[in-house]
Amino acid sequence: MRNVGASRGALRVVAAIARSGASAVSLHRLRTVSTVLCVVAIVLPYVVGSGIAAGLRADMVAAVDAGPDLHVTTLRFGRPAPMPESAIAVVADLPGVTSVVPRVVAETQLGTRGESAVVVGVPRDSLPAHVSVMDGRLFAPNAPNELVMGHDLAARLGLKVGDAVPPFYRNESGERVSRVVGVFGAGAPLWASQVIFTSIETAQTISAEESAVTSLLVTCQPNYRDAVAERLRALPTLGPPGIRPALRARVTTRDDLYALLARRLLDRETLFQLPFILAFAIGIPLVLVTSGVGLAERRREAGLLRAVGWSVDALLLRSLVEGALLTLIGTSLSVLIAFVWLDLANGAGIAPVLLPGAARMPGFRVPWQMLPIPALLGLAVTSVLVFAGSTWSTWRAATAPPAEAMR
Amino acid sequence: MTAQTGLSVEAREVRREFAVRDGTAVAAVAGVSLSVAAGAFVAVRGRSGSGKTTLLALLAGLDHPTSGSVLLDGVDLARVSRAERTRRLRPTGIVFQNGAAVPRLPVWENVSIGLVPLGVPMAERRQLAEAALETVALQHVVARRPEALSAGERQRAALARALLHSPRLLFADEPTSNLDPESAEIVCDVLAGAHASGATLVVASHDERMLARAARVVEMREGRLVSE
Repeated sequence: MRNVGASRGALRVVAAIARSGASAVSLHRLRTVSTVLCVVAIVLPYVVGSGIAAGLRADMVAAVDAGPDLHVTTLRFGRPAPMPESAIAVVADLPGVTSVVPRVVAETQLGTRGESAVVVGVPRDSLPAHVSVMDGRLFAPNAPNELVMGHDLAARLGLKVGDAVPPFYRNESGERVSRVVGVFGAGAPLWASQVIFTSIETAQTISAEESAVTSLLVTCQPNYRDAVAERLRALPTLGPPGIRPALRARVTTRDDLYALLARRLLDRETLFQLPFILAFAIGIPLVLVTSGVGLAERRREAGLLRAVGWSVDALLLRSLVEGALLTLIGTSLSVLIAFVWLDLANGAGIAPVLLPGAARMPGFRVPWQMLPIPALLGLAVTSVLVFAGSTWSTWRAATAPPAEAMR
Repeated sequence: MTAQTGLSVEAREVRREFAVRDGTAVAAVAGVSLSVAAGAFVAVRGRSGSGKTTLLALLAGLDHPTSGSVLLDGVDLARVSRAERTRRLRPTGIVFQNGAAVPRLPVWENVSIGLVPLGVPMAERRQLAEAALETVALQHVVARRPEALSAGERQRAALARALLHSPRLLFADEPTSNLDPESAEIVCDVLAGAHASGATLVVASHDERMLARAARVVEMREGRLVSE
């Protein structure tokens, strides 16, 4: 027999110990299951929430990218106020302006459950690029009370093309029955879940604001954006000349929107992350405890391994590999479940934290995007926790006299 | 097994105390001096609780004496670093009385687990383990789990593990206590074979078959060596 007691080289030694650590995962099943569950409980909600936040951010950025150079609204006494249609011509006449699209945006509620929706009145040739009619047609010019509904909203209300919508607004001209003439899908899921497109005139009727619009979408020639914005801000009024109080233009550029989106999303994400800072704090002792599950058996095992020639370093390496595998399994499982949670369960439970007003089981497609950073962050944090828990207990068992550890 | 040089081991005024609940200390080994020359076969006998197992653990470097010293091949184990101690103890082997094993780990892996930190490839470990198990007539339990073995089989498997790396100093604590006569004979033969190939052998036993093969028999009573 050759001398089997001789060491076979550092790399082989490390590989053999690592393999032993990997097989320890299946040896200590109770510890494995409890630690993995603990890791999942910490990482999963974080990954799901981060996925929804990333999806929302991507959606919003895409919407701003595809939008106009300037959004113009009006203020009276420093508060938002409708602007007269005459303002359209004033803005269109400014040097460098290539197009001005008026828009009427009004919030309303429909159906017996009072589903909230946003009525958007636009010229029929000025619908956002990512909106496409899936069924039916667009509203006709000069045809009142024709609605094109977002697909998810129509599904929630049980409406289809040709259905009549009972009166959902009241004004001086009385109630009107509206008709669904089309259903649209949109690149941004939130649009399809909340928006109704209609003509400017119908939107004005619904809002009881004839001859007024809520905003103008202004597109400029290259390099004219800032100059046009300056001219608009400098105008004494966007209302009819001589009428007081004046209507001052409020101009929001694309850059302003990016900054606003980042700030609003950051606020929501911070709000979302606070419970998870707490969860991590609670997770520390929890993982430390689960890492120590089956401690007596593992202590005896460490004593036995020391007795048959394992060094303290070898035992620590074995424990480290076992811990790394546990966190990797836990985090991978979290990412897999997060995919299911986001894709099949539509972010239920977590979406409302990031989408104010959304139900616990959102009735629309919640946007999400799985990015590697949250999963890697979860892996890093839980690795530290598991390593701390298992390394300490292994160190104590390995440095005790083997006879004592085995007792 | 190839011929080799055994290692000497010596206990000098070794004492090992254990704290008991009322705060006092009980000496399991109370000032024992014992010198085992390289290549010797020494048997330690005595009643249960006489301190045989504790003495063996101290000699095998698995426990630290409360006072006194243990010298392995002339080197005081208390005066070397932990890593050096592990290195110096590597050519030794021990057979535990209860046949201690890692639960759920197949018998062949249990037998060869001491070779893992040496980087011995798995296939070679299995091959060596199978050969070692065959020497103790356990070739039929290679893939079983320790929980599925009888007490006697576990003890023989522990013997196979101790012999796997051809130790130069072998300790065996009651190696035949759970065995039927036939198996006990096998174990006695295997241990005698290890000694014959040059290994130093220290056995704690009150089995007459084992004692008859030892060149030297010492007796313990209440933690002390009382006769030789």
